[in-house]
Amino acid sequence: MFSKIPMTIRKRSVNNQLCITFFLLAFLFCCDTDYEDRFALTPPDSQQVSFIYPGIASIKFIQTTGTSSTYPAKNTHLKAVVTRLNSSATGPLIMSMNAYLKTPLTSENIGFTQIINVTQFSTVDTVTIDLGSSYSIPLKKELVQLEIVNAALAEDDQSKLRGNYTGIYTIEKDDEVLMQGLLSGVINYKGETSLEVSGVDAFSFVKGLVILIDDEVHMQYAVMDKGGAVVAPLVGVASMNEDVLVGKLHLSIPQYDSLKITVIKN
Amino acid sequence: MKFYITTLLLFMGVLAHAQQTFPVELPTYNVGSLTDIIIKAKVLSTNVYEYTIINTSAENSPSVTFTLRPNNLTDFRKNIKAKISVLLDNSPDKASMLAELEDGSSALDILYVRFVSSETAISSFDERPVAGHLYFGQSVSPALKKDEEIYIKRVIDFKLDSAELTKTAFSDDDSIRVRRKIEDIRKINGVDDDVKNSILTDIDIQDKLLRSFKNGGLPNAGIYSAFKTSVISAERKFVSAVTPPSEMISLQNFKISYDSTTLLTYQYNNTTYTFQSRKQIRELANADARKLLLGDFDIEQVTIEFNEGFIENIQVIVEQNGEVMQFENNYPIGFSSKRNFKMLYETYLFDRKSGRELPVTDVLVRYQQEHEVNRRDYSPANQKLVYTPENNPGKMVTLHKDITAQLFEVQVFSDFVGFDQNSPNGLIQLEFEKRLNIVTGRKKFPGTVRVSHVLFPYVTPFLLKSKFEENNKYLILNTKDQFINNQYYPIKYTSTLELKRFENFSTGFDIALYMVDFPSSKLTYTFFSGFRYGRVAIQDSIRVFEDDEIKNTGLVNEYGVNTFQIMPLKAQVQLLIDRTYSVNFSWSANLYFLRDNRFRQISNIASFADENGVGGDYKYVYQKISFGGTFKPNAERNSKLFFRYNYHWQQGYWRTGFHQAQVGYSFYLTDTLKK
Repeated sequence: MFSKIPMTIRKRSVNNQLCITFFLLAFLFCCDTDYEDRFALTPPDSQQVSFIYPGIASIKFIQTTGTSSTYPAKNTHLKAVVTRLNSSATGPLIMSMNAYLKTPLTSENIGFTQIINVTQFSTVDTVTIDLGSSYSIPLKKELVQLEIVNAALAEDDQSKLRGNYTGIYTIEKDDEVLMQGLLSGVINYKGETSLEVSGVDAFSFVKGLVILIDDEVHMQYAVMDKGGAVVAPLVGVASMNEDVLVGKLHLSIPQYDSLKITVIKN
Repeated sequence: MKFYITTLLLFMGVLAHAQQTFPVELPTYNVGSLTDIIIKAKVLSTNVYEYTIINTSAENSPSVTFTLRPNNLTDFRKNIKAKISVLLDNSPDKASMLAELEDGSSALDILYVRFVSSETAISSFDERPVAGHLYFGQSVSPALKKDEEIYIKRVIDFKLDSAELTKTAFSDDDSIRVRRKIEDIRKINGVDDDVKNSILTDIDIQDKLLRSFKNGGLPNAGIYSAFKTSVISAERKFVSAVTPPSEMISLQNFKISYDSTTLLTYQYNNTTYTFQSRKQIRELANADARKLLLGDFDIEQVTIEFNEGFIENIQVIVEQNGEVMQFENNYPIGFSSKRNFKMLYETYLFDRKSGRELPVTDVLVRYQQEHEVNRRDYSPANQKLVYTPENNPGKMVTLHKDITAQLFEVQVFSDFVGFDQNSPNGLIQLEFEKRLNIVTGRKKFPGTVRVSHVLFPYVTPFLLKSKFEENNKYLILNTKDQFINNQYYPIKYTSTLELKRFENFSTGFDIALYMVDFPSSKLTYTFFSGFRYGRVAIQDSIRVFEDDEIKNTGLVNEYGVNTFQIMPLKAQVQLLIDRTYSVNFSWSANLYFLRDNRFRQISNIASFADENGVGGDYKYVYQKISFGGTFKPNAERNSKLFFRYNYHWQQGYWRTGFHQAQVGYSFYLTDTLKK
């Protein structure tokens, strides 16, 4: 009774059990927390524009940009993936690409022009071409114009006049020169022509088909406004001499009567 | 709508809080020897009685009812007689019957006492479940002081040694024992050198005798007698020479000897005990010495404060021939679990003046706890118990649990900051919490007298609801405009602190890991850990990218998100000034995680919004300091007013943060216990 010797008490490890329980709970509640944000959300994919030319090739433009707080982004990267659809086409495939900032698709709104020359089709079916990082234009299909200048077909299967052209035009009335200006555009592998005329209010484009018959260049053109509406037909014959195409076409507009073009294949 | 729900909740709380137990029907009695007349009583309120007198012998048992407010004996006598007189109007024996109740008769007095005592019994005990029965001791013998203890031990050891030396069969160890005793005597303080030398001479004789036996001599009667005389002589000299450290009654009364066999005989107060071990004799002699030195003290009064499963304070007044000692505990004693009751055997009370100790089990001899299904806490209700032997001849007090169980502590509070309509803290907030004791046994902190400590003392689950009003209910997300691959891909974000600030619901628990109590300075240090889940209402304005520009649609997306918070450590110091006031200060580190992937959690809105977009290395971590005080207007009730100031800030961004200044009222939601 008076002894200070403590009674023997079976030490129950209550504290240890509690300790273990607490830390186990803490672990269970915390084990899935991570010090990194794991946002599984996929950021927007690259912008892609595709063109398919049956029997020739499909072309896909892929534009990627980094994260940017401004629009359009300054740092972009553009590449083209070209796949041939005609296994016998081994020659060079040459395309002319114009990317515009907005409509109408005129030179005032052009963002950049790119000539794409694919020469590897003799060995591979798909070629990826790096088009560089200098274009800060958002790529949209309606703002991209692509013309196949050389379709890698046999020479006889393509227009001999195909190519990129630049030159001048002269508009006359009664043999009097009313205005002169610059002209540029493409004649594609089918002979389809699209030349942009600058400095004229009445129309903006010369479009149509050019056919070469025995060294005579027959033009079935029309002048069109910015929206693509036909303003007046153009008919005439031109001549091709050492990459210089010269033609005088009859223009059925009251104030003018002829359009003379002199363009050089680049 | 929510306003009404809140009001209803509060109303229910107040209703449960102010529980009404009246009226109480009391047992029915006869009026004195008038067996035909019975009286019923009903307690309408404290000290307000309604009596009904019924004449059972008459036809239809006529009755008279009256109320005494306040209830007292004079009015009781007067009224009873008058009403009985009315009831007996037609009775031929009226005069003789009334004579029974004349002033000289004690019949009415006895009746009155019966009713009043019944009420006392009912209101104080009967309604409440029994927690257990506490048995008290009659008298105690306070423990000896250290120097007294050493003295007694020396004397007893000396006697034991001497007794053993007189055994007829001397063992080889005896010589060594004699030598040891010589060393002991040399060390004794307070003994004259002359006496010491005289005792040493006796011992030398003993030693020589021993040697002679060992050298082949056989002990004969003469030698043995000489030896024994020498031993007794040395013993007497020693006992009479040593001045005890306190008032000393002669220890001659202790007689220790060997009988003819191997049994040790211990004689005290004409009672003889025989043992085989020295230890048993030593313990018994020690106890007897205490009685001899101090005698038995009668327990005069024991006052115990039971508080939340602890004997917070116990005061034992003992008395012997006019000398009074007052024993008290140094730190709270756990009184809730079986383990606690075992620990009582290790717990001592102390007298402030003399420094003497008293095992608490000398006073609280036994606690016989009452078992109930699912009852794990055997502690009685919070109460002050005063025990005196006169009032409790059975030396037993039945302790009860409270009639109500404190379901939750409800805290209703408002935020000063919330008065500002633009602040989201919420005008009215409601918090439910319940403190559950885990480990109630406290241990003395090593090297201290009163400081106690405990691991895992309690856990507090809680639930907080805020933002009942409609203002600023939603956290509006910030948006950082961003483009990826030239497509609009905005980042929605908000800071950890904003999430915390707009939390409208939170539930979890805090576990007290370790607590140190300094009763002398009234300080308690506690370390906590905890976790909680929370809910935040989010408003997100929908933006679109059209015509190359970002447009605000004017539409919003509203949804709720979950948050998860871990509090690895909270340190709190509490100063309990008295039962009325307390103040506390705490600091905590918190990890706060958003469990949603619709927007991002960042450290600081301003630094994320700028060009570099710093999300912060410690965006999940915030710290909090809290300062608070409570005031109990009525110390007997558990309701209290409190004030709390919280400041939260983001780790790594010291200049960020928000504050809350809350003032509120806290009370307990209670429920009647099943009997």
